[in-house]
Amino acid sequence: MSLRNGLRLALVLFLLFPFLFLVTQFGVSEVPDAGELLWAFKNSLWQASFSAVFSLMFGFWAALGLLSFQNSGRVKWRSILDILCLLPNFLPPLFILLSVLSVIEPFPMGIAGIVIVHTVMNFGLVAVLLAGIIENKLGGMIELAYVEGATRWQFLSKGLFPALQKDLLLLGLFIFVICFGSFAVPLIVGGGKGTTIEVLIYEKIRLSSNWGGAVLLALLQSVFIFTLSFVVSQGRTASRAKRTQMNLLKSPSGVFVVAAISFVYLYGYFEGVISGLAMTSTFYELQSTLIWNFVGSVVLGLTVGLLCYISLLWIAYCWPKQWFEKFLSGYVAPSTSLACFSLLILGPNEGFYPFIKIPFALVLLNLNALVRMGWSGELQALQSQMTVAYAMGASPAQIFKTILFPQLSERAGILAGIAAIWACGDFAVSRILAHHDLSIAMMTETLMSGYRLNQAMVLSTLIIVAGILCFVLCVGGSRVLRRKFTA
Amino acid sequence: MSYVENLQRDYGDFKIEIPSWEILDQGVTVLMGPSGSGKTSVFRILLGLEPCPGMKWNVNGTDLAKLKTPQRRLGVVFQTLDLFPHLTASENILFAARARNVDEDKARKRLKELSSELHMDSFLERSASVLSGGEKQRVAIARAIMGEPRLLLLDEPFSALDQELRGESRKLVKRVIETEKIPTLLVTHDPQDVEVLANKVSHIRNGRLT
Repeated sequence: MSLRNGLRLALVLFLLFPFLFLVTQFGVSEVPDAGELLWAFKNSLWQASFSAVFSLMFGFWAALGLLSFQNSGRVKWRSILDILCLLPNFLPPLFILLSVLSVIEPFPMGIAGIVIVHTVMNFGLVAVLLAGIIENKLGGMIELAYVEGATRWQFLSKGLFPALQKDLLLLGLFIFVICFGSFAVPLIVGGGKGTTIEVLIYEKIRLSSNWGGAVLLALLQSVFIFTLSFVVSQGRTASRAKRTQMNLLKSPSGVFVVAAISFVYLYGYFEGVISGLAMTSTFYELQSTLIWNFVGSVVLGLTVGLLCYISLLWIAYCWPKQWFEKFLSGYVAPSTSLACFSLLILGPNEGFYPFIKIPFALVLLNLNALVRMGWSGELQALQSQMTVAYAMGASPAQIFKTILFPQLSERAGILAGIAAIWACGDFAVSRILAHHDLSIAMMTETLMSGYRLNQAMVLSTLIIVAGILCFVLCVGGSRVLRRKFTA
Repeated sequence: MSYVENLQRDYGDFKIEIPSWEILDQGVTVLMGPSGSGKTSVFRILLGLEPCPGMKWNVNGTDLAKLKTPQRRLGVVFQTLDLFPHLTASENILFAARARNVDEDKARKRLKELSSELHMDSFLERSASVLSGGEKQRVAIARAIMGEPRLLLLDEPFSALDQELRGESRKLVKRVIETEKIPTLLVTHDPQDVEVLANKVSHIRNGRLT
C-alpha cells in the first residue's frame, strides 16, 4: 500500500472511529423503548422542521434586504450586512444562547426555545446563500421583468418561487440537517419537554449507562442525517454572483430584519455584559481559577487549531481520489455524545488527558464542517494544476510541497482559526470529557446553569479574547510556515 | 510512427471507438474535430488520466498504455494553460525539470535556451499570476518541453489568445517544435492551426476517426 493510500485509510478510520469503536465494544444489544424513541424523534423532527421553516422565512426576507445593496457604492454596506448575518452562525452557540436568554424573559424552554435560538443562528446564513442564488440564477430574469413592468408580487409568485422551488427545498433541508444534529442548544434550552435524540443519547449514557441503546440511537440518527445530507449534496450547484439591477425585488424592510435580529443578540449580549460588570467583584475570589481556565481555553483552542490545520493539509495530500472525495462529501459527523463518550471510555480521564481528548473530539466533530466550508472547493479549484503536475511526472510529495502547500497553507490557517474559536467557546464536549471546569466556556456554562446570566456574560468576554488570540496565532502561524517552507 | 490500438471507451451516452491510429514520430499530428466529437477524451486517455482497458500504444517498442501517467514521459499543455500562479515563470518551467529529475545545472542551461527561443527573457522572473495570455502560453509550452518528453500533447493551446496573437503564437510554436524535434499531437477545431502546423491530420467525429 502506498503512503498516500495508507494516509487516506487512516483518516477514514479516524473519522469513523466512534462508530467502529462503540459497535465493537457494545454492539446493538438492546432495542430502546419505542415510545421513548418516537417521542425524542418527534421532538427532533419538530424543532428541526420549525427551525428550518422560520430560518427560511426570515432568511428570505433578509435576503431581499441584502439585494438592496447591489450598486458599487454600496458594496461596503453589503459586506457589513453579510458579516452581521453570518456572525451568529460562526460564533460559538454559547454567545447566542446567552444573548437570547437575556433578551427574552421569561424564556420558553422546550421546542419553542430551541427553534428561537436555531432561527437566530441560521437565518443569516440562509439570507446570504439565498441572495447569492437569486443574483446568480435570476439576475437577468429580474431585470427583464422590471423593464417589462411586472409587479413585485407577480414576479415573486410566477417567477421567483417556481424557479427557486428546488433551491429553497435544498436550503431548508440543509438547515434541517444542521438543527436535527444540534446538541449544545437542545441541551441548554430543551428542558424536560424538548429532549431530542441527540440529548437522549447523552442521557442514556450519562444517567442510565445504557451504551447499547445509545449506540443504536446514534446509528439511527446518523443514517437519517446521512440520507438527508446525501440529498442536499446531490442538488448543490456552483454559484457565481452577478451584478444586476434588483429594483424589483430589493426591500429595505429586509435590512430591518437583519438589523432587528442582530440587535437582539448584540444588544442582549452587551447589555448583559454591562449589567454584569457591576458584579465583577464576585470574581476576585476566582482570580487564580480564572487565569488557569483562560490558559486552558487558549490551550484547547490552539490544540484544536493545530490539529485542524494538520488534518486539512492531510486531506490535501490525499486529494484527489474518487472514493476519498465521495467519502468526505457524504460523511456525517457522529453524534456529539457518541463521539465524546467513546473517547471517555478510552483510557484515563484525569490530569492532562482531557486536554488531549477534548481537542480530538472537537476535530472529529468539526472537520467535516471545515471541509464543507470551502476546503473541498479550494482543492477542486487546484485540481487542474495537480493534473498538469502529475502528467509532468511530479511525485505526490513534490505536488504537495510545491503546488498545494504554498497556495493552501493560509486558507487552512483561517479555517483552523475558526475551529479554534469554536473550541474556545465549547462547553458541551468539554462537559462530557472533563470532570471539572477547565476552560472559561465551561465556567460560563456553570454560571449560566445557575441562572447567573450577567456574570456568565462578563466571563464570556474572555472567550472572545481567547478566541481572537487563537485565531490570530493560527493565521499568523500558517503564514510563517508557508514562508518558511516555500522560501 | 507510434501506433495506438483499441482506443475504446464507453461513457454511456457517448462512445470513443478508435481501433487503430498512427501518430507521427516527427512533426505535428493534428486531431481535428468539432465540439463534442471526443477530442479531449482521446487526449485525456492518451495522457492516462482516464482508464482505457485493452488499449495499446506502441512508441519505439514501449507500450505506453501499460505505464502510469508520470512514467509515460509526455509533455502537456491544456487549453487552460494551468500555470502555477504562486510561482514565477522560471519556477514554473524548472518545476517540470525537477519533476523529471533533470540535473539542476542542465535544467538552468536549458531554461536559458528556451527563454531566448520563446522570447521570455523580459518576464522570466515575474509571477505567473500577472503574465499576459501570450506570455502564459509561452511559459506553458516551455514547461511542457523542459521535462524532455517523448511526445508533446497540446489541447487547443491557442484558443485562449485573441485573434492577433494566435497567428504569431502558431509560428513561434511551429519553430520551437521544429528546432526541438519533439513529435507533437495537437488537438484542435481551428482550421488555421491545421494550415500552419499540421504534418498529418486525423479527423474525429462522434468518437470515431473518419
